[in-house]
Amino acid sequence: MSEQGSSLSQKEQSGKGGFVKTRAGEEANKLIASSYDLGWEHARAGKPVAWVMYGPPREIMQNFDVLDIYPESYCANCAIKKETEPYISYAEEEGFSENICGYLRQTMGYARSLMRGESTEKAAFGGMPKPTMLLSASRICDPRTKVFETLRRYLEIPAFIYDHQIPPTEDPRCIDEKTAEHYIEHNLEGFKGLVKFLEDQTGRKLDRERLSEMVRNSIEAWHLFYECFELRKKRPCPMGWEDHMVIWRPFRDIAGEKSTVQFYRDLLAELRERVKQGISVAQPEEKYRLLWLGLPMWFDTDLLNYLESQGAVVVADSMFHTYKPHDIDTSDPLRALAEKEYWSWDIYGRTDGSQPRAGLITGSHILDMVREYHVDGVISHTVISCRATSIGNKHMSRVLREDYGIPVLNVESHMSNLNAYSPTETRERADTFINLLEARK
Amino acid sequence: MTDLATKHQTSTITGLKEAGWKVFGYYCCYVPVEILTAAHIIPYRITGDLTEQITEADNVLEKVMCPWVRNSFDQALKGKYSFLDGIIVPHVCDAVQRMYALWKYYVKLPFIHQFDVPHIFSASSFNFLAKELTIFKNSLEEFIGHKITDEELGKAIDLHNENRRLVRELYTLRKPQPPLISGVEVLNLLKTGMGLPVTEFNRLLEDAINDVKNRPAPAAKNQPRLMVSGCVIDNDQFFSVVEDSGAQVVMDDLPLGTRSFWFQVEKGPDLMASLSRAYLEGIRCPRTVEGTRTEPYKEEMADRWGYLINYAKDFKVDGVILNLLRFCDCHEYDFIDLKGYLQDSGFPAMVIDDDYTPSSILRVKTRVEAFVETLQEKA
Repeated sequence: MSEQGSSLSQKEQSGKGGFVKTRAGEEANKLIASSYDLGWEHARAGKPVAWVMYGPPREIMQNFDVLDIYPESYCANCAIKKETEPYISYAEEEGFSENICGYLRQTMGYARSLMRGESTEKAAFGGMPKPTMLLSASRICDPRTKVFETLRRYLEIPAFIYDHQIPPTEDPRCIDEKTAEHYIEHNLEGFKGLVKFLEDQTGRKLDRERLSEMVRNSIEAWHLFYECFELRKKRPCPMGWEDHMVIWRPFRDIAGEKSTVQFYRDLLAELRERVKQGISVAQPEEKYRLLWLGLPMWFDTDLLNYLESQGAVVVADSMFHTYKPHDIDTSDPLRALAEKEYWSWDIYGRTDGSQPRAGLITGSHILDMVREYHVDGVISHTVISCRATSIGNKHMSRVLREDYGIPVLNVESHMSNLNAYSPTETRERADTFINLLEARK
Repeated sequence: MTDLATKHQTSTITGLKEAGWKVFGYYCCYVPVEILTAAHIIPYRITGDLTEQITEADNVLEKVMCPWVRNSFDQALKGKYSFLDGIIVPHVCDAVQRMYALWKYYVKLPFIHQFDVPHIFSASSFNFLAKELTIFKNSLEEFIGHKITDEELGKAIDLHNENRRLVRELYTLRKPQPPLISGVEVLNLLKTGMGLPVTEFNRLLEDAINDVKNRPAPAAKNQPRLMVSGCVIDNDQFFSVVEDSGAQVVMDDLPLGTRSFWFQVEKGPDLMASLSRAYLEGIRCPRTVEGTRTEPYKEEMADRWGYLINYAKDFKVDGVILNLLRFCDCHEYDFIDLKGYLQDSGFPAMVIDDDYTPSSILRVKTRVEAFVETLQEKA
């Protein structure tokens, strides 16, 4: 991909006859798909495989040759492919209600199949390899704290979860060094606990040199990712949200690798070129810039193409962010990692005392995005089975509409229950919303 | 029988306010009320009102969240908590945590504070929470205009330790068959007391305990003895339904019950560390978990829920009702296995899925009656 540099295809340059996706988006999709194959290879070789809820840094797990598989990420991909069954139904048969996180219901159903020795070959992407351990951190939402306790009913394997706290972003305290230290110190202790657990499980010792290298790579990738992110502020926006949902994944799922650094270097070059050439993802031109609040509708990403065909581009979202890079001393790699997590992720994750990326309550951070990304309207997505990303969206919609006069389209769905969602109805509502935006021009 | 709390209550919140008291609301079990008492502030436990249909909160809050939190916030929007001078919102779960900014935006009290409560038992968690509590105390001191001394805090810890001891003494009155005090009476006493200065709460408990000990013993009945565990129950209709159906609520594992009172604060040289350890370690809520699990799952269940078996044996429980409020992740993940664990341990259990609405109590009634009937048949 790097050799392809800045040359754009005819189709991309013309912006006609299709939606102008980035090459990096395609590349990221390939990387993600191949990561499942790698997982199976790793598992077949008898090496340790961890099912991980986002939190434990990949840089540490890799140090112990523990392959990290992210069930929530896998389940989102299954939702995109509309292949979440039969596993969700299995979990419901066990008594887990539809109010429980869709990712986790699917994961539990899948784990039940593994426990029963059923074939998972027909699962999307060939399924997830059977784990040898479960790893999580308490940040982001309550289910992350609970799910591995419950998964152990099916998979009686060692589990480790550490406490990870996130600062109150809208509180000025969070950028105060003393407060930052209070959080970083605590989260660093969690990482140390993870290292100890992995040492016990694998019989290996932490290789600090390798960790240092991966942390340096991660920090470099963060700088590049942030620059890519910033370019989406440009008019026209050089990359749509469908691509953005995919291109952020290497930052977490393949963190610490040289290839990830290269991936973002290439993406940045591509986006710069697109900005230079004024290429829009919307057809025939970018007319409305949208902000998306909440989780994506994984099973209806085509909605974004539909919006783009009406000239509406989702230029920013409340989920897949990173914060402005911060100078970090990498002489102590574990501490550097804790600092990187804090300044790249945690600090951005919480709003006014809330959990990560969710409950965008007083929303100065959202209002900042509205201003900086020149947003014309907001789509607010309430997910019936996800409290963390939904509580507060109604309030935020009200603030945006009433206090700032920004139009908001509220949509609702289950995370993975495709039967409970009507694409036709959503498009009809999107049409009305676009008419409203048009009337305001 | 149900007016034990009213009979012995000597102050009302209106009277206390007129007498110059400041009153701070607080959510859940994890707010160390000792800090408020030391600041000469009445800690007032936030509750919902099961008789009240949610109206105002519908404009602000999603329906796909804890109905009790929605209800309590609805009360706030309707002015039920207008007497409060402040509100403390610990970060205990996704729903409660969001209340911080919503109270800040809509209710606008003179003081509001949120602090983080770790989800994992660990040395670092205890240290972290101690620092969070220190930040809270500093913020409170700024509000009241003076420092809270260790002497004041130590005295407050003593008063609340005495309070928790008295509650446990009150609970022992439920051990005889038939119990000397009903579940409804206990709940009303706790709910009333959690809106009074601790000295008055203690007096209320002492008076109620003496009253119960001295009143005629209830007629001998062989009613099933139940324990209720799970999500918050703060209205007496639930226990009334159970007790009207021919059973007795003799023990609980609930936020407005044992979870708030089944521990003591051991005073060490650093009182914030003492409070941190006591609250984080002492409160048995499923939102806090062990960090490492390597034992067989059966042993893990015993470690997580063995205390319920101890409660059940100690209070000679015949069956357990698991109360699940819809959208409560912390409890829902547990309940399938918890029910099985209780049953395997010899205690029949049922799960009630409740949505905390005025009409829900009818559904609860039907299910509880059926459960009680099966227990009666077994007996």
